[in-house]
Amino acid sequence: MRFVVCCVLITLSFQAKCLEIEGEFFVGDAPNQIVVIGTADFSRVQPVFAGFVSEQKELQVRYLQMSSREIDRAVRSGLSPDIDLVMSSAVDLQVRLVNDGYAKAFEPGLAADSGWRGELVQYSLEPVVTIFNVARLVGFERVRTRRDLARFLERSSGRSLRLTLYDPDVSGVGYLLSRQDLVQDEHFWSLLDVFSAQHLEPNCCSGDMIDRVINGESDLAYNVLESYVLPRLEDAPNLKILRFDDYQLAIPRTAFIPKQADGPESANKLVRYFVSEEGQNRLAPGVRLDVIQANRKGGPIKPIRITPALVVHLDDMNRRRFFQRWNRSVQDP
Amino acid sequence: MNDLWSIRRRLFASWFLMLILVSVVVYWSANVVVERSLREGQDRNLQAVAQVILDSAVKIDTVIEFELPYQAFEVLAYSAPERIYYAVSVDTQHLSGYRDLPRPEASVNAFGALYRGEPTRFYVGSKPIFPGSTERLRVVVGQTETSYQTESTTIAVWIAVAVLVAFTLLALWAEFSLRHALKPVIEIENDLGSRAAGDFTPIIRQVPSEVARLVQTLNRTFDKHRGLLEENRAFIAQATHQIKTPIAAILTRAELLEKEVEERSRDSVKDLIVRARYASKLATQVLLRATITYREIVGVREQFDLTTLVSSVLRTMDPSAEIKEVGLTLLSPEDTPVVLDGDRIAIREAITCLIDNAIEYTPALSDIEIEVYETDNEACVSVMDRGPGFTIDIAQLSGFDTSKKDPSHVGLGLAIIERVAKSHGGRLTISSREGGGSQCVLSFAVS
Repeated sequence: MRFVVCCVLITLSFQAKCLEIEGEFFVGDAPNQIVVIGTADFSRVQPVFAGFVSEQKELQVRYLQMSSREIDRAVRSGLSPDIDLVMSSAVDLQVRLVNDGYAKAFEPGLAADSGWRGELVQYSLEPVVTIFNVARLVGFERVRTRRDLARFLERSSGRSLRLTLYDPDVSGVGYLLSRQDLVQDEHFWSLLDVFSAQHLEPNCCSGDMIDRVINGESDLAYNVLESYVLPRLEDAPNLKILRFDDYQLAIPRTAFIPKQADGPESANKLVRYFVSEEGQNRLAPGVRLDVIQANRKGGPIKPIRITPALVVHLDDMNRRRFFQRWNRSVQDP
Repeated sequence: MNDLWSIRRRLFASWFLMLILVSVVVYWSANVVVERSLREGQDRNLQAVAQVILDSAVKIDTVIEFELPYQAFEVLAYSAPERIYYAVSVDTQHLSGYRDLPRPEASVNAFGALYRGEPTRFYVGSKPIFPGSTERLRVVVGQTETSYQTESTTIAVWIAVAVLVAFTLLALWAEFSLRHALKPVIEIENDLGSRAAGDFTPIIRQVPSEVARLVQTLNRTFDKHRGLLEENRAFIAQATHQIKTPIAAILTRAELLEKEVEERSRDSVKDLIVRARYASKLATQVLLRATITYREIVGVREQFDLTTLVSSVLRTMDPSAEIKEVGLTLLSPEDTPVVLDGDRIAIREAITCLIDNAIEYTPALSDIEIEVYETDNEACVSVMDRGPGFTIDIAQLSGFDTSKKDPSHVGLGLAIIERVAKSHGGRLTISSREGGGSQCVLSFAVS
């Protein structure tokens, strides 16, 4: 097995179409290649690919790590037939691509339990949590819900707490989470107003937000992918997780076979392996499909439903209206 | 027999044809009805979403703002795993959504079209952007309908299958009913089949009213035949009597004449007497034959002891045997009865003919031995004489009397014997005896 770790932002010529990739990785050294494009960090999916190629000895996995928007752009502009599978956490973009007919059906039964139309399969679930610096927020343990959080922040108005959350303008995941917060809770705008009353600094990514809380640059980060937090807890005694009692969002990671893919058999095999017990066991414990059933702290997990209604979130007009409101909260506290 | 048609086969052929026809019609109509109702439901869902978007529209300054309701779309998405499309425009200016959605041909709200290679249902809603405005906000909401079509086909198939099953059950029931309905007819058929040729007794059976007429007609026909038969017998009796009277007169005159005529004419007169006697005997036998046939047809039956019958016949025949100086000996003891079920008179006549025949052919001063005995399934009367024996084939025996040269020995005796034997399930066996003579065994079946 050999790993080729590439630098961020290598522009590769991929059969006349330019793909802006963040990394190219290989698992296994068999002659037959299955090409996967995905948003997940390679380190997170590598154990699954490794398990897969040890079972399917004739296959080598070539993984191209890309951003979800780049994947969307690439699929819409026409992918090479060599690309066998598209895996992404941007479920709204994934659903829109499937809705617009860019996917082909999986073999029957594979997408029956989770997914949509037999064309989109969910292979993992990422719960979203809030993290905070326990040294900076005294008495924060009492906060159990978003209302509690709003009240706590209102009471702390003189302290100018430093808060961070996904910048929806920069991050597709951030936009998706904010829209889902609005679907779940009509008071989300008020919460954002309360955030803005403190020192709010939107951020691009979960990793950065975690770093900031650990470094002490931020006191609280709202909506962070839990799977990024868990490995950091041991080395950061001040870093604590808040799992809200009212609801906890979770982002499904999904996969589809592009319409023009020429060999769907190996993609079916790979996805079947991903959702199998063995494949799931090779994922991090917090992102497996059975995480909903797991005995977790906090309120009910509300995975983002895989439904074509997500398409309306991506509507330009809708985005424009969202950002008008967002900016009103964030820019005019 | 091959071109006979079967009621059952015809019924089932028409039934099967009907089954196919009804299934096809049911499948087709169910498909149409279900598809239409599913489509109406789908149209209502699409209309609801379009209406929500229309209702949310407001014009702020020069910009038209509207809501794309996530929850409403989600309801639509939950209704079926179908793709969803939408477009919002003001007149020809596209505002939001899919730009290339098809336009309806006429001013209809709901329409189907092939979009991106899939059958898709669209609903178009519109309203003026403000009251009285000529500009209209137009909202199109679409949803593919593959699963609706699959569903309606599935429902139609199930309905057609249900009809098929119902029809098959009905067909089985019809088969059962038909069997049941034809049962009396089959019973009558069996009744007729098991009847003796001359059995004209009416059919007495509990039959349904539909078959009663057939039975009545049959019984009437039987009656007519019986009447004809009786008429026939009466005619024969009458005719025989009418013939016998002049013959008796001729015989009497001839016998008187025999004494009066001259020596040279006496032989002719003797011949005349013999022939007249034969004519008289033949007339009697014709009457006897007719009587036996009639009794057989009418079905006269009784139980009696064959030994007793034979011994009484022997008593009546003793005089004629004495004239010929022939002895009649019954070998069987009279106290061992051989019980037989049959027409006593007919059997008596048959035995009389048999012994009479034996007396005719036995030379004077010899004995005729008669034996009555019973085997496993037959009662037999054996007559053994010391006559000349039979020189002809037994198969030609029916007229054996006529083969004899002596005209007085001509008659219907054997025909009568055979007829009686046959009607009692028996036969006449003739064989030669050791030391000359013949043995005639007349046997009757014992039921």
